[in-house]
Amino acid sequence: MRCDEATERLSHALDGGADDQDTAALDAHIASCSACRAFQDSSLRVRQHLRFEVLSRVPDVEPRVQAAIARPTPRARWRWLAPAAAVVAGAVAGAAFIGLRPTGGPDVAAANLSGPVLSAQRRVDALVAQLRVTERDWHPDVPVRTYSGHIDYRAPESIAIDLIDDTQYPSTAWKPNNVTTVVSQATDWRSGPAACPRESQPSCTPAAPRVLGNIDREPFPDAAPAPLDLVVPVRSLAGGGDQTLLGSRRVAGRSAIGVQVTVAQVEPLLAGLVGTGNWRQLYPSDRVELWLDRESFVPLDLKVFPARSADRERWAAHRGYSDNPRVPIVEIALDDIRLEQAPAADAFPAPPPGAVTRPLGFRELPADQVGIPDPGWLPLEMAPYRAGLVQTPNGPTVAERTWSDGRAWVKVRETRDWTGDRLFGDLGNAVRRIDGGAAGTVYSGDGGRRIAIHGGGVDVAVSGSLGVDDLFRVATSLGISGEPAPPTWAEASLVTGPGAARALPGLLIPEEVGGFGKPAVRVDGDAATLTYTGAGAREFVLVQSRGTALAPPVEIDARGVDVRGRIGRYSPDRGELEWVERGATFSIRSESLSLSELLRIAAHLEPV
Amino acid sequence: MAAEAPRGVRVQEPDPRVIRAAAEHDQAAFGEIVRAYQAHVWRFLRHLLNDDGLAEDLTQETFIRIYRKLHTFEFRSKFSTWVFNIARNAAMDELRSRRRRARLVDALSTPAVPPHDPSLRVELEEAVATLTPTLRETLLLVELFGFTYRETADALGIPEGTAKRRAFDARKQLARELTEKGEADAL
Repeated sequence: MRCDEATERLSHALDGGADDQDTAALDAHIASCSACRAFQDSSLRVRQHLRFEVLSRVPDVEPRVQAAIARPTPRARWRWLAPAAAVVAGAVAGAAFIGLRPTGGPDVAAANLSGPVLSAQRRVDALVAQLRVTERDWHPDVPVRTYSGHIDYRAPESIAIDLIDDTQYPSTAWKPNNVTTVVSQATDWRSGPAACPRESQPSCTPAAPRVLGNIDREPFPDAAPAPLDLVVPVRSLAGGGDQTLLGSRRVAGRSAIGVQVTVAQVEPLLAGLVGTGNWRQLYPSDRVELWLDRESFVPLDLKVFPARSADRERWAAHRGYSDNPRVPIVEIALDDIRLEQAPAADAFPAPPPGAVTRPLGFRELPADQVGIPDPGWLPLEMAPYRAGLVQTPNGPTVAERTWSDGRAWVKVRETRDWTGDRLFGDLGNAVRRIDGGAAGTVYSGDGGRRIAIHGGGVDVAVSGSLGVDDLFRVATSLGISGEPAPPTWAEASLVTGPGAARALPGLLIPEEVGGFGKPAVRVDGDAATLTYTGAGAREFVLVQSRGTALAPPVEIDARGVDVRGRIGRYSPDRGELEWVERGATFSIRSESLSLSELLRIAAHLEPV
Repeated sequence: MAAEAPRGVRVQEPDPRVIRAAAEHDQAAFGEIVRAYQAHVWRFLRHLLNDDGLAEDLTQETFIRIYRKLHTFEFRSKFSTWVFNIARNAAMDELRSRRRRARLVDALSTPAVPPHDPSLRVELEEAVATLTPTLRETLLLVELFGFTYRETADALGIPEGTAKRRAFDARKQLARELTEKGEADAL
């Protein structure tokens, strides 16, 4: 027996992998081999030291973790949307449409729907419709599931979605995936079976549905958003740049236009349906054909097709899905649509007995008692909606006022006892610092859908479903003079693009990134981080820092790719493209964009 | 075999009902998970990074990530391996991050030895600190928590054979380091 073989077997044996066959031979070799005994001795000493180390102190991070998670994340992920990257479907033939701007090649029609969608939402005061849903390949024993139900909506934020699972299951051991979501002003609740893995079906699904809810709910809360994109997909389409148009046809007896997007982009819409209950997973780059009512932009028909890429196939194989790219895996259709009919009086029921509800701490008050004056500017016909105070055990007292017009809304939150170490208002990581003119320094996050101002003794946050420019105008008309974030706050290192270029000579930024707003830029030492936010869940982060070599890969499936004419690295699970160029290391990372999209962004990088 | 390997206390798996409740934003259930795992995660990170303070920051970051990703946990692997995968990724992300890059590079290349520790502990920690991050993270999961190669592979996202090979390579390097150190001290 050679020493290498002996020490390797010794290592294996230390980890419980010994076989008894040649133990005697191994022992005999060790007895006669000082190097092997040294190996064994050092391995046991290390084990003794590590496994039985005496700790004088173990930090308790629970209070800080609990405080951090109590702050809602603006762009929460849903269990049905698995983080990964994938391919974007190619251009689809279409035509030019009246009122929409055709762009692209001769066989491609595209349009920026932001303006029409933002405008249309203000015209939708009510919606009553029937719903039909088809889901494929949830489980090998249940290849197709079908659902029927209804959606009721009353502006601005009361919505009820009820889906009954009509599927004929193999036996009664399978539990139907009946799901209900109700939002009615200060209360919301959702009911559905608890999710469990498909391999463990049907036994793992509890017999009774789980019913969870919130009470004392503030208007339009970040922590429990109403699925309003099912009514008009503002988050999914506004700010998404040019959309590929599919054409025009009649859907459910209404004139409709079609757009092709990705699952990541329409995440806010899909989450309203498949965010509760036990559903199959979707891939972020799966192709979505979405047909919208031409006048109101209410979604009429939606089909999800599997994306075509090796990474997507690998993702499906890992989960046991056998998807066919030509067959939709999820279909959603509205029928019997009545846009002006008010929902029935009992359309938004209270939570059923046994529901587990969480108080969100909102106390409704007359608008003139919360201490927030009217903004100097609001869009025409915006009317005051709910107002009050939010008081939670670990948080500051927050005054709130809201205004609405149809499905459109805007909210102003103000606190005078903010003690956080970052801006009030949960702007997320993609924060931009903006010169607000007379309003001083203003901060914008979540692609411009959230604005924060840190003033003398007061912190204000403005959010809403308005366009980016309108929201900014509301925020800067509040009469507050914004100051830069204190040096100890997370936003203190934010800079502008030119500022980053000065700090990091040779900085490259994308010349043009369709579908994304201006980046949030920060500089830390010799590294610049640019975060771009698009519609829905689309987002990517570009990091550049001085260096001549990449760090070792952290993912086993990392592979070489050609990026900007040089060899780079792509890590599919991380959705990260990396390369070295001009004495700097580059990383573009996204959970929602495909490799081809990342490569396209990389190709458009230019010196500032 | 010539010597018996000591066995430590294995990391316990939580009740699946607690995981599901935490995934549904039950903060009491999530607090139970934090309390059960925070010491394990901190130990792993402090040995991986050689920096107690940084390990504490990243332990906090790990649990925030866990909370936000809990709904994606599909019970395909052990919960503990999933937790350490997130902790390890948080450490690797920090390794690549800008703010702490210089500090981490120092930490990963130079052992930070508590001044009051006995010499044996110093010697062992110095030796472990010489390992590359990939060897070190493998060895730590195997030795700190008694993970099997399969569990280690799940936590690190590598094949089982690679975990086995890395554990062996780490031990070979440690044996070399400790032998050289012993010989140097004897001179």
